[in-house]
Amino acid sequence: MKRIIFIDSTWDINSQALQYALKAAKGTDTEIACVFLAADDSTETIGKAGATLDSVRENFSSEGIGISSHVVAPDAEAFMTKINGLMPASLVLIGDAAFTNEMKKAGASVEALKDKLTCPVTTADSIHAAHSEKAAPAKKTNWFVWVLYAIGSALMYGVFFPKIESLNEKLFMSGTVLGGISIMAVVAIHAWIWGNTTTILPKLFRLEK
Amino acid sequence: MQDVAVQAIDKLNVVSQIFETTPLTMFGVILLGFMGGTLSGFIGSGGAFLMTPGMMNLGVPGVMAVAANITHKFGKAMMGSKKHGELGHVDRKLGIYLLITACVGIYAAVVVNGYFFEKLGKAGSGLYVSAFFVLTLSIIGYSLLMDALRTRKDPDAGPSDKLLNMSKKFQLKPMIHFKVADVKVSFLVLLVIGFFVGYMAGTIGVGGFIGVPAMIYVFGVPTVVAAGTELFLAMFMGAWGAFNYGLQGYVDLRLTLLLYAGSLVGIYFGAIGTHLVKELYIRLVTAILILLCVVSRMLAIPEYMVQLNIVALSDRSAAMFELGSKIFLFGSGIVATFLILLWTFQAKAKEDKSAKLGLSPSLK
Repeated sequence: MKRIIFIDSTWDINSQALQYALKAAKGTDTEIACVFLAADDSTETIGKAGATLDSVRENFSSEGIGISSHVVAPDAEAFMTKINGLMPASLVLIGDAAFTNEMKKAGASVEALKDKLTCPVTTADSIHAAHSEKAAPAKKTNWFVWVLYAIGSALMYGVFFPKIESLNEKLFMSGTVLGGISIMAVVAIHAWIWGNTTTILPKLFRLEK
Repeated sequence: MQDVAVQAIDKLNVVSQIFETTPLTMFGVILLGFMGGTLSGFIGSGGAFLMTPGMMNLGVPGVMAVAANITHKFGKAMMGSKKHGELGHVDRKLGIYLLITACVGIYAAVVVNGYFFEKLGKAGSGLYVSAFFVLTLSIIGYSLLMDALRTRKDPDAGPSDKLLNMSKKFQLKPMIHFKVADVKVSFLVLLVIGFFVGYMAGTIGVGGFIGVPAMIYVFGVPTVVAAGTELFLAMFMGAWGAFNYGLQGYVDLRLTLLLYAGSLVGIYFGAIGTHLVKELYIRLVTAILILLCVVSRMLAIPEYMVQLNIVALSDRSAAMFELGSKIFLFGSGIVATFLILLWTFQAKAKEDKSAKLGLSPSLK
């Protein structure tokens, strides 16, 4: 069975963060380890946190998802020990977690988790941002236009480039206004053509869709 | 010194001679372009701090390396500022104010740079550009490193506000309000900063390293607007610099086109890396790389001094300095580019792993 660690301090049943955790766990034989990062270590707060997690568990069980609940006081060492104890996990998802300044300074923060854990660590905010970006339609490559740019680039490097040496004396390095303007024109055109040709590379390397 | 002036190099043929003597130099310029482009995309500005000294290491006179670089900057910024403009990150009014004074700075730099080349030849130009490079970039590299280390200790720390508070104390009138950036800046401060940005861009091809920090730390402009405005500024500064160096006959387009061959490939990988790699790593890489480039340029200075008969060195020592300079520059550039690509692909693999779980998070 896989495990997702979900860290939060509010545990709002309707929060988007919790919905992301549910979505990730549903139908994938995944358990959610719910970590309640409490605001303080008083008995009352810890007790309330435990009760909140119990109600969350009831909701989750109706969805057919197994959960384990863990309440942690705002102490960096205790927090990191708890997270390490829940490893291995396939994902650490952070909702509205109240990391105190003392915890951050002592090395317990979102950044610290990303540094120290080998599994993916992400926040609900970044998932939301990524989903919002996704909503915008991805620019499709117009292959006909791209081929035109590629031909233009081939001409620039294959035909124009070898001629620059002779053109330097007559025009580009002549030290005239026309020479200066020609340089700017060539650079603008070349940057446009070659820049549009190379846009395909991140897609070829699957860094972009 | 008189002898050196007589040895002034024929600028029209110097690049042809380099390419004919060592054809691999062409590949070296493309590699420099790729490294500079990757860094430029990753850092948001810059790349010139690697490309200018790199071309000088390959034998290109300082003034022509700067001319090729600033011409290259024009087209690159043209492509980049288009995107930022679409996102509304450009304060055009601030950009225009800075641009006017920056153009004066660039013109002054072209005249001074050209003077050194004409009077003292390739070595004189190389020494002037290198000394300016070491002086300014060591301060910038050190400041960036301190800033990155401060962020490492306290991840929530924003930009230092010491300079901003200091500039607020000296509110010299007239004050100008910039709507997009939502800041008020003294006109006189704008004049000084703009001139220095232009002079630096015109001398070593690096302007963004003064422009962006000045906008953030002195004017209080939000980082994203500072980066967008700098690209807008860089486009016109690059055009003005290209035109002025062109008027003096120092722009050999072969160098610029070879730089583009690598840079417009690398820039996309670097830019994607910024979405995937942590900002702290970006800042650390920038700072350390700038300082290594400074060391490389420092090692190149004795060779120019020997050529100008300022100091005497054995051939063996001079060769050692030259080799050390090349190793530092190309070595640090290759390692930094490799790390950026590695982190980018690693982060992408991690992101894809999460996507398989039904999520599509940014793992930055």
